[in-house]
Amino acid sequence: MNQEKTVIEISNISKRFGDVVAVDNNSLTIREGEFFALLGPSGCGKTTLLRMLAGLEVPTEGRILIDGEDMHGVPPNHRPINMVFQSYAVFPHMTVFENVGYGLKVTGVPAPTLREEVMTALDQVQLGDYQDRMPDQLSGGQKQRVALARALVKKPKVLLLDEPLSALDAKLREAMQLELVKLQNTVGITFVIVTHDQDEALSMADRIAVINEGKIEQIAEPRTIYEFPANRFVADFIGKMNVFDAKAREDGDRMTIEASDVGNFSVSRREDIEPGRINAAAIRPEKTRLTTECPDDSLFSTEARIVNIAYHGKETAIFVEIGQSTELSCTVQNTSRSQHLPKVGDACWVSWQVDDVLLLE
Amino acid sequence: MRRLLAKRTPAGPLDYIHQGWMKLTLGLSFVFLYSPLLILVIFSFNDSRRNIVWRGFTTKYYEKAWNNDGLIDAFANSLTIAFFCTIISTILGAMVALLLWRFRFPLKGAYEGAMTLPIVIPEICMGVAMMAFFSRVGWPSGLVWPFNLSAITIAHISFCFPFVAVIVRARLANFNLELEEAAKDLGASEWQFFRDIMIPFMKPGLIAGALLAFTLSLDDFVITFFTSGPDTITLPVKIYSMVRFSVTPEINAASTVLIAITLVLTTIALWLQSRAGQKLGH
Repeated sequence: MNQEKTVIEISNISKRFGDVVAVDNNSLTIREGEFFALLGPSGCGKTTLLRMLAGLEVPTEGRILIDGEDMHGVPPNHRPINMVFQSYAVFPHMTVFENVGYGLKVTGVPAPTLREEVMTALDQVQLGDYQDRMPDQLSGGQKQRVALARALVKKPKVLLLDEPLSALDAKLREAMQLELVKLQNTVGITFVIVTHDQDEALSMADRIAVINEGKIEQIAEPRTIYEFPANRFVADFIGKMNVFDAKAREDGDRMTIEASDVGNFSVSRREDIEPGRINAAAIRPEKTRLTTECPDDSLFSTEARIVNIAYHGKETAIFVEIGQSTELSCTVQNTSRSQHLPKVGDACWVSWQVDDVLLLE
Repeated sequence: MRRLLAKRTPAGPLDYIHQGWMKLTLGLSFVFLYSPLLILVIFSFNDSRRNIVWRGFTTKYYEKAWNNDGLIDAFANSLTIAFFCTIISTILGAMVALLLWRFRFPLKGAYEGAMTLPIVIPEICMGVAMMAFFSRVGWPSGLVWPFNLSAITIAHISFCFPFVAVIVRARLANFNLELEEAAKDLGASEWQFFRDIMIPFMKPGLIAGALLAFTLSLDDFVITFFTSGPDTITLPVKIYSMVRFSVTPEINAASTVLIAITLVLTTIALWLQSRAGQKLGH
């Protein structure tokens, strides 16, 4: 797999529906063999972007190159791209075999070749024994596999998946996540998936584009997105984040963070941050520690009072109040049955590593 | 305690235990629907010249009806008209349904309303209108069979195709547009999509519409009466003219045959539709 070769190049693309701007001047490149996720809240324009790739929507402005070819004016049936639709769109009057073979039949692939390729595709999605079933005899997960096989059998340059797992129940969804990644590794086709589920994007994708109100906010690997979100929207949208008011002041080769309730602490100076523009700091709940005594190690710590406790089984979210008005959530992993849990009203210490703090404009 | 209270509450009209009402409703609906038909069928086997008193069993009136050339000719006319009317109404109705489903154009609402007009307009008005229309345009009469049936066939099409349009339009309302996008995404052209996805999807609606058009045409009396000439008698018109002389079991026999044909056709169509429905997952 050549990680460097670009398969999709989107430049300055916009889509407007009347006065509504669905996609607002975005540029993006997707590499060959990549598992790429478009992640964002519903209505952010991620599906519109995907549909423009498939040729089902025409961009108002901008250009799409697929495998170096300009897709302007190329209808969906002539693009080297196939799509798995959100409703699966399995043809209800055709058997599984006919569904998967349809894309080959319409382009005049001879019957023996067609049969062989359909069976290979069905085996790839583990539906080899289901070729004669009608779609209404299949479960949701099986219909999705049919939709997958039907697209894969066309051997597209890029496979587009529109919220492929949203209609499945939680257990099946998790299994399908793993399976999709495995399948992508086997076939080596570039996958572009649209999802509003951050877990899905983080666990499956090689790279993620976080989209908000038609604009791409950040494109990066999952770990970078989670640990170093580019801005407040990404920080807030991905995972849980405690955000509190803070100011930053330059202090030699370090910066002093002044947060009225939480207290002051010093972090390493980073070139890409201008201290004057910082007005908030943030820390993830699982990066905080909760203790009854003041920890005497290198962590930053502050006194707090427990105001609420939410038990989640594998972990407990403990909400603490610091000073007058700052409330933080701290996650405690329930690693042992005999673990002692604090009570509401208890005094405690909250601490964290200063470099885990995120500074926001 | 709760159980005791429940026992004291009188059963309402929609309670499942209310078997009496259910049976009464069933019985009444069957009496109103089928008692006239049942009497018609029974008396077609009556061995009497009059239709009033039961005189014993016979099938001779079926024979008599079979040998009545006028009756057979009328029946052949009816079937021919119904056949052409069904084909043309189904195609035209399906096209109207597709037009209403797919396209937007000025005054679409008015057009949609106008399409359903023949369903609600009194048949007698349609009949008179048809008669006036054909005499105004000077539609040729006295042509050779089957062209002499063209006026009746046209009149039948004009009141049958809106029914087909309404039925097919209802079916199209449930079409998942992603099926079209999927077909095109897989490489299908517009025509391939239409042939492979659209028509199979419409099929149950087309069958139901065609069946309705056929039965509407076969037993239409009012509109046909105003558009038929002396040598273009259809079965309902023929039966009417026979009744004017005397009500004999021969008429009962002819009517029974008509009922039987309608029943068989309906059963076939329903069976086809349920098979298609199973395939389509509805």
